Amino acid sequence: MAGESKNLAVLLRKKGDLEVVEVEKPSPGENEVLLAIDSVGICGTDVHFWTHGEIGDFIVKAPMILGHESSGVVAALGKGVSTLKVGDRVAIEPSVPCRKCDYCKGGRYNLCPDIVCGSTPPVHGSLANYYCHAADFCYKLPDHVSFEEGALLEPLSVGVHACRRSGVTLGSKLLVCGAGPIGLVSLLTAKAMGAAQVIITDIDQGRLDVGKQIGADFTVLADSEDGREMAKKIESTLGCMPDISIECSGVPSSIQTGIYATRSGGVFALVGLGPSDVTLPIVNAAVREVDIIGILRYANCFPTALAMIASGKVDVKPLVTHRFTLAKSLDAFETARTGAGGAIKVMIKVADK
Amino acid sequence: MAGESKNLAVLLRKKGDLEVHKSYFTEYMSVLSTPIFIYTEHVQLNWLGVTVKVEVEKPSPGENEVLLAIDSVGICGTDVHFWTHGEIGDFIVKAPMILGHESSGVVAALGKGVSTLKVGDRVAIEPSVPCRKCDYCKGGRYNLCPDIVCGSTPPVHGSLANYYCHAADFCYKLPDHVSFEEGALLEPLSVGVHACRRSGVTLGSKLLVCGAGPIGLVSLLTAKAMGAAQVIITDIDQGRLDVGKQIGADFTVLADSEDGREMAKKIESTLGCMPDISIECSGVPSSIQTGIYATRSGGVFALVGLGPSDVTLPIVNAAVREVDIIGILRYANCFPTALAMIASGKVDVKPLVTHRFTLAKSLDAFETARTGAGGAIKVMIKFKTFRGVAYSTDVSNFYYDQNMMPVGDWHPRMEGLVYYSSRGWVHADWTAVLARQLKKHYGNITPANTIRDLVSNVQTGDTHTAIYDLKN
Repeated sequence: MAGESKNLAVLLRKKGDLEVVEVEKPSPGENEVLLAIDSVGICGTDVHFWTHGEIGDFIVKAPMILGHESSGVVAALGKGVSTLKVGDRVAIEPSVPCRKCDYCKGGRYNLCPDIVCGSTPPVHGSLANYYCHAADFCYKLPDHVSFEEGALLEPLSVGVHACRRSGVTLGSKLLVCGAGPIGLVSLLTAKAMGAAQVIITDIDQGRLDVGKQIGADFTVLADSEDGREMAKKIESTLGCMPDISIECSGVPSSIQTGIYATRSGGVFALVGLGPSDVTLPIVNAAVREVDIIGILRYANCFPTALAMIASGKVDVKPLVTHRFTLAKSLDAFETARTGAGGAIKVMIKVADK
Repeated sequence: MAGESKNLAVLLRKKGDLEVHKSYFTEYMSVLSTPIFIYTEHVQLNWLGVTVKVEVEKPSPGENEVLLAIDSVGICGTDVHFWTHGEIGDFIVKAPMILGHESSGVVAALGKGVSTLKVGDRVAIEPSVPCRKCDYCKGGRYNLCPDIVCGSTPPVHGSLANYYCHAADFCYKLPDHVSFEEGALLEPLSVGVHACRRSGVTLGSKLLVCGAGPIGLVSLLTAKAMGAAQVIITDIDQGRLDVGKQIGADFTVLADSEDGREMAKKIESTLGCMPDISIECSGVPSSIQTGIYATRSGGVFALVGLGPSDVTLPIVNAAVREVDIIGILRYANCFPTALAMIASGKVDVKPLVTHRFTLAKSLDAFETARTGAGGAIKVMIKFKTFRGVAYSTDVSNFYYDQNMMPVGDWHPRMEGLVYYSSRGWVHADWTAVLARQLKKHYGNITPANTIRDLVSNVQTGDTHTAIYDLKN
């Protein structure tokens, strides 16, 4: 059933070497579906693999297709698929676990040691015309939810996972460090969960303005690397110390700020990834029982994220600032890399010509 | 009416300057800054025909407080650290401070409003008293109260003294079969309870404990009591590991490398899997790193040990494996649990006490605690060798006749030595019970013995009760 149409993909041959090339069109295996991809958002990790060739232990050793924030249309069904039909519009949860280990059975499948993650070496991502994926990790989009919103379910799910694990609830007072896409989806999710007040920090005033526009109660420019000083500024702006901090930048001074800023007995959630080893004010955190919890992607969050969007409770559309066709992918990645023109989420419209 | 008292205390004047100090009660402030005035008066005791004048102290603790005659106090690493360094973090010794916060003793007097305890009750002390009014206190996490008053954290005096006042509701009555030493050990044991609770230790847990000092050992004991399936413990000292093994650790690993990843591998291969939970009790940076690397993904790393303020941590490793790093500050609502564990016999903390010193030898005690010489784990300071409480449960006969003459010995029905006086058979409240106890302790007592020979430092809180020290 080889398709008439070509399969073009954004291929990272090696660090610094990104190109739109034709690749073989895949066929769906058992319990898989073949998708005609429509929209793919560029994530910071995609950019990092391009510029550095590695993140931690994951090293680009062979050419790899990028992209994991995707949506598309079911083009063909593999054997055994009954939950979807051809023509269904879906969003993709890009990481597929083994389903058999203790983590999977216990519901924390994001920690599955054998999880297969699109666009993490050596696994191909979904920045291509055609892509195969496990049918149960594709979520059918209601008609009124756009493909772009579908592609944004992936970062939004990170926000859901972060807010859940850190205990955001009705009345919470929250600090979000970093107003990039992850900080902004954390802000949106927290508000949807009933957080009373959210204060957001960033080094870029433009991003803070977007944060204010989509619901932040307060913004603070992160103009100091002194964690204690920034924490005081946050406290005086918010009027109290936040119960919960969600750190989305990975920058060491921002992590230190978040720890100092959090109220005793509160939670500091670390989403942002930066240097492997960071000097932390660990006694300050420990004697105030500020728990430091890590956030790895998501588990059982996509349905919630989809419900948030479908209900109209959350509007993620303002996050998409730039759109490029597949042919202009290199420009797209350059924009994402530099943040030029106030770029927040850069979307590649794969289905557009 | 303030008089000179017999209150001796271990006073830290400043860093490096520790002294067994005779404090006058007029100087001595309770944790709630209520001055204690001691009145002395003479009461006459008639016993076996001898009239004895005994100097009795009548202290007055503050409202809702009790005055305690301290019996046993364990030395904590923080006490030692204040002595050697004069500070811990933001807490700096700026004025002389009495040390000690792992204590037990006997209620010697009741302040106004105290109804939950009575004179003579043997209690263990929870040394940190919160404000009770703030959100933390109301929410049950009173250990985080910003206005908490902690004994032996500057500037608040501790309990290494003959007498000490404390909030009555932070004193826990010990059952008769729980010793004063076990009572003093409730404080570190409560830290173990808090650590195990916060980190989610439960039936079947596989646990790593880093550090086999008192805190590591009480964490091990608590974890096992909670049903942990296997506990592996690390330390730099083989002797401490041996004690750990003896009291229940399934595996021990000598921490002979500062390479966290290497140690973590060793732990995993010894245990047979990665532990779900790690409780770090040393505060040493390489041990903290080891604990993080060693913990299974999705697990919990609890930090009890305090070391340098800022430590370089493998934070991405922890974050991408969702190993949560949680701090442990003392305890909240843990003493009752710790007491129940000891009282039920489920947990035996007695092996932890390795050295005992009298109050007079406190400096030796601190030196032993500081160096760990002789395999020291928990060093206990003992205020008295014997301490007894005589109290009358019979409230019907209160005659106290100065002209009593001894006419008989033991009268079983009246449960005490009885005397014949002009009013008939009577026995004087606590003196009779005291006499019975002395008889039991010393065997036969002849009329030649006087109370003065046998006891000293008799204190009465009221006509029902006296506390005394047996001379040995």
